[in-house]
Amino acid sequence: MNLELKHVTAEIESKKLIDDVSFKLDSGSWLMMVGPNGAGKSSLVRCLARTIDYKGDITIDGVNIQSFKSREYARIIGFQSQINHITYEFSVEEVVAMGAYSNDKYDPSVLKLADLEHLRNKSVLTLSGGELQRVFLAQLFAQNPDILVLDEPTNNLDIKHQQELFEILGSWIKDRGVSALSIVHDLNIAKKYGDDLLVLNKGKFVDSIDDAFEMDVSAYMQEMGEQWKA
Amino acid sequence: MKNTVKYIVLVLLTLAVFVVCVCVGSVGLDTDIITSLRLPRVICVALLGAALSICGVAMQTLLKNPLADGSTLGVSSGASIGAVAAMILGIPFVFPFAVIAAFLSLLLILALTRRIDPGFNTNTIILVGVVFAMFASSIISLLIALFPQNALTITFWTFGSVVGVDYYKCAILAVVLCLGFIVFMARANELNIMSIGEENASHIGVNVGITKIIILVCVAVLIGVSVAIAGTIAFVGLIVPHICRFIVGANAKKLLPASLFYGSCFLMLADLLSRTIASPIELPIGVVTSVIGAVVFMFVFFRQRKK
Repeated sequence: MNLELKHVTAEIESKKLIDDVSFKLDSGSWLMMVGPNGAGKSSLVRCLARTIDYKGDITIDGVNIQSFKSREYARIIGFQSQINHITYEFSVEEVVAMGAYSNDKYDPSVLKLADLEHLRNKSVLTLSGGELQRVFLAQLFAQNPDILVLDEPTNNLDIKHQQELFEILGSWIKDRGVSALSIVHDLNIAKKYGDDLLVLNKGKFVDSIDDAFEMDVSAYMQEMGEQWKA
Repeated sequence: MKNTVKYIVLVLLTLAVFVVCVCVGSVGLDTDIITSLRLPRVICVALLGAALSICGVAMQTLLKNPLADGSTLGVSSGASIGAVAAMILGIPFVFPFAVIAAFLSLLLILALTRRIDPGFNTNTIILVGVVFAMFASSIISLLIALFPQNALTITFWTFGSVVGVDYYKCAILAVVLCLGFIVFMARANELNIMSIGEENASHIGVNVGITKIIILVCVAVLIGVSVAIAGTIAFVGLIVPHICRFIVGANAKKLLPASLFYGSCFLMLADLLSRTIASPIELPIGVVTSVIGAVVFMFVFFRQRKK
């Protein structure tokens, strides 16, 4: 499925979070998005998640995303949740199975994909940060969407667990041929798994890393570009 | 133990507690007293316990807050204002007054929450509920100060009282409880998902806004009717869900039926204690539940802090 943004602008109290952003995520491709803190990356994800108001058009296969009902939208597009604290004592499988809410077809094999089979009946309150990230990744697999949006999916993880998580994610994305958009900070990961790199700064989108050099961009982005080209 | 066996044991336990509570009292087995006073009272108490407990489950899971219960929304305080006003005005129909006040409070609380936060954030709901409850409490104190001749009746009622309940009130409560339980069970999946996190629930496909409104309206109706019948009975909705989580886990599909039966048992036994422990003096049922509840409340609080 194709995801397309046309002239998307979002603002809070007259402050522009996203400024006239347009881009297209083609079916089966994996785009990596980078940018300094406050660039508007997470705001862009919130626009896609329909949790903040925006101007402009966001469409999936030509259909405005606002026209989808909640369950229908969840069958099409999935967002990885960043949850560090769970209040009640659910088992790992109970939390993973919640992902199948929109399609009513929970497939327990997603536990194996995320290497959680041995933790199936364990309480989520006893898991480490890395294990909890895998639980929400498995929940995303259970949701089984056609488009994935990942906002710093390896946040707070060490390098070993980051690689581990991206390996799981990468093979699932390639096997199923889904489209994915990831916000990352590590260009090595972006280069290894992504098909293209997108740069966001001060709410504005730069079409490619080469264009970034022609613009008045921050030293951070210059550095990103050097690394990407290397 | 398998879940089916657990539920059969639970139903039998509830029936046994029911029979004991009907049979035991200060005057023994007098048929007239049992049919006209004790039976409707025990039925009513069982239904109240169930209603308060399932509201506790709904609120704790929906708001992701283990210290929430039906009164967190503030509707019970609103219902109390209606009931107290009826008592002061000398109107014999306290029940409809309290129900109407509960509905008006719900509308006011939801309107205020929406005004402050159109997204109905759970923290805003809790904040508005707590502020409204404090405001209502001060209004009741003011009414007691202005009309001291009604002070004793009002104070006794605000502690929770099931004296003089009849079959008519039992029937109303039974209907409301059945409807509320059906709605909560139908939304059990959404409740489970919401208890993990609101944003996660929205990503998974739950219509968070609609789910909140449905659950809050059901809680308001159940709590409004319960308060109208028996005043404010504290802590039942707080502690029963926690006890049941130890037994059946956090899944609302199991937790709701378990809380329904354990809530009934808990309040029937609390009522039995309230009318027999200092006989012939009858203690307000809310005092008994508060004494037990305060201890469990602290236990839950410290357990959460440890985590």
